[in-house]
Amino acid sequence: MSKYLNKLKRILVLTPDSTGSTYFQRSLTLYLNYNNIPCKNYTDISKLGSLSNIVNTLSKSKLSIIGRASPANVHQKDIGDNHLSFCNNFFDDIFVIDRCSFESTLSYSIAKKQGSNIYSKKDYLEKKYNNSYNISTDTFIQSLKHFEDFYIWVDKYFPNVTKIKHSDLIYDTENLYNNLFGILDNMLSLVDYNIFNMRRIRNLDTTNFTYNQLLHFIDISDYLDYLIRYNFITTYERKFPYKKITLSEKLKDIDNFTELLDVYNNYPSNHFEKINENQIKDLIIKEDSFWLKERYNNV
Amino acid sequence: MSKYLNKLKRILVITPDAIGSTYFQRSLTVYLNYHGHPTKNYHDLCNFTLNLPFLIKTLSTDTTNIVARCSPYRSLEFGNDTEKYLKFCSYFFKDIYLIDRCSFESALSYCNTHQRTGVLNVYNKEQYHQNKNKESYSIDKKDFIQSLKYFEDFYVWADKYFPTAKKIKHSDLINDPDTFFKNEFNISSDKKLSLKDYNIFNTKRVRNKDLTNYSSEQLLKFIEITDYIDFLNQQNLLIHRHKFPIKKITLREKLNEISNFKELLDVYNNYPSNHFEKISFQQINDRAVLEDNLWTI
Repeated sequence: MSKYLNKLKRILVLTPDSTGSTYFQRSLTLYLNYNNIPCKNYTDISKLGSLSNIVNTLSKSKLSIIGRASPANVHQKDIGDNHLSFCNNFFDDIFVIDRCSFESTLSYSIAKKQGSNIYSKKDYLEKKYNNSYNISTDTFIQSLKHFEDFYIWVDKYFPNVTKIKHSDLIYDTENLYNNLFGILDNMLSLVDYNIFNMRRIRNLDTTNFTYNQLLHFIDISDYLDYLIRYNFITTYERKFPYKKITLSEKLKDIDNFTELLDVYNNYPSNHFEKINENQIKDLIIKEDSFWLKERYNNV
Repeated sequence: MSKYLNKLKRILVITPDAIGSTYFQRSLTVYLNYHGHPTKNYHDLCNFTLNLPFLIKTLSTDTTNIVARCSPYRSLEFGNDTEKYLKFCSYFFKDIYLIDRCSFESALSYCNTHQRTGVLNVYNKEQYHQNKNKESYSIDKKDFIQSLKYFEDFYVWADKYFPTAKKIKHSDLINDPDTFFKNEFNISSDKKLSLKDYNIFNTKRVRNKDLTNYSSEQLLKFIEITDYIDFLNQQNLLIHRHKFPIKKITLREKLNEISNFKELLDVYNNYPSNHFEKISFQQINDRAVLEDNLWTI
């Protein structure tokens, strides 16, 4: 055993929104605390106010820190370059979530209308689309520009970020975190918790979850309340985000899906990877099998 | 059916703390919302604002039902406006309640909070374990007498400012909140919610008691209730980082853990008051048995 104390973890996620960063921050805060690494999620660190306040607060923290930074919030507050230099120096682990930009752009365009995340069943049922809908190409192109600008901003200010795959984050959360943060005996089932809630809020069958799994989920929810109560998660109104719209739901509900796919594939960018309909179908099969497959006792 | 819309409910609980008022406010807020009556819990009105005109305007124009609390010690935060504030409360709220709980037990709870943990309520398992009494302890007699005076002062204050407050039995609130709320607020609903079962489950769960008697269906229902409470919090209808209180100390736990329990009981029974009902050790034991049967712990 090392004679030195473990270093505090200082983790930053860079995000344009709609890439899974809220899930990343909250699930990681939950995971680290649950595994005895006291950790506070500051959501967007620009919310701490002036740069001196940010530096002061974060530097004196005796807890590990998870924060996020996004170009909109940093530059909006006119704390731009110094803020970014501080972030680069202060945070040891800086991440960007690598998600299919087409899907992110769809999510972002939808979020503009109805808010970005959902946190309870009623919230889901109130916000979900009950009919098919259209995303205007103008809105979609604006969203694409937003994402392209984000990637340019990352290249400029954070050239050494670590990319984590969105699929690893969702489909294999515990292993991703175990590997990134060297935890060997994690007992938290984030993947199962996530799947259970995705199904629960949609009134899908949950009978395959065992009694012990349900108790574990109650325990997780209770532990999240503890983290909120003691300000480890700073926004008490929002607890833990649930899957809002799957790719198959987007394909089914967005009337002009194919048109938007064309727009995306023709948008000039060095950052967006082209994607065809078959690849989208493959992604859907993979995603649906994750959320909807029969599940047995994993706890 | 009446041709008029239902009147908005304006519900106030007056409290010295340690009588179940937090449970009353939050369980009632959950109950009313769940059964289709949008309701906002303002907790203590002093938390909301100390600007009386703003408070009056906000409450008067609120289009949801209102649940709130008022206490003598927090009212003083209004300074020179304290009297006006109390008059406003007395005038504005249609249903004003006072929870009728055994003052001996309340005074014990109050002392436990203020002399020991400082935590009035617990809201999750981790917090319960951090704040539970791990060994027997005694309550200083002087502090206990001060608490009795505090409670007596509260009842005098209640008599003065809220002479028409309605007393509700603490046992009704805990033993069957759903039926109590249904009857008290004339609620008609087909939706199934059992706050009583939810409360019992959580009381057992945080104490690591056996939960195997619960079915998966019941666990799913409890998950649904927690999720609904999260929703109310998100909608700013509970307005607090603390969501739903869980039973902190049962009477049996007090009996087992307070080393000078009988001495305090003597002090209580000899304290001069027109508001405290005398109670014997046997009556306390009987009540502890009844409570144990409720929690089944």
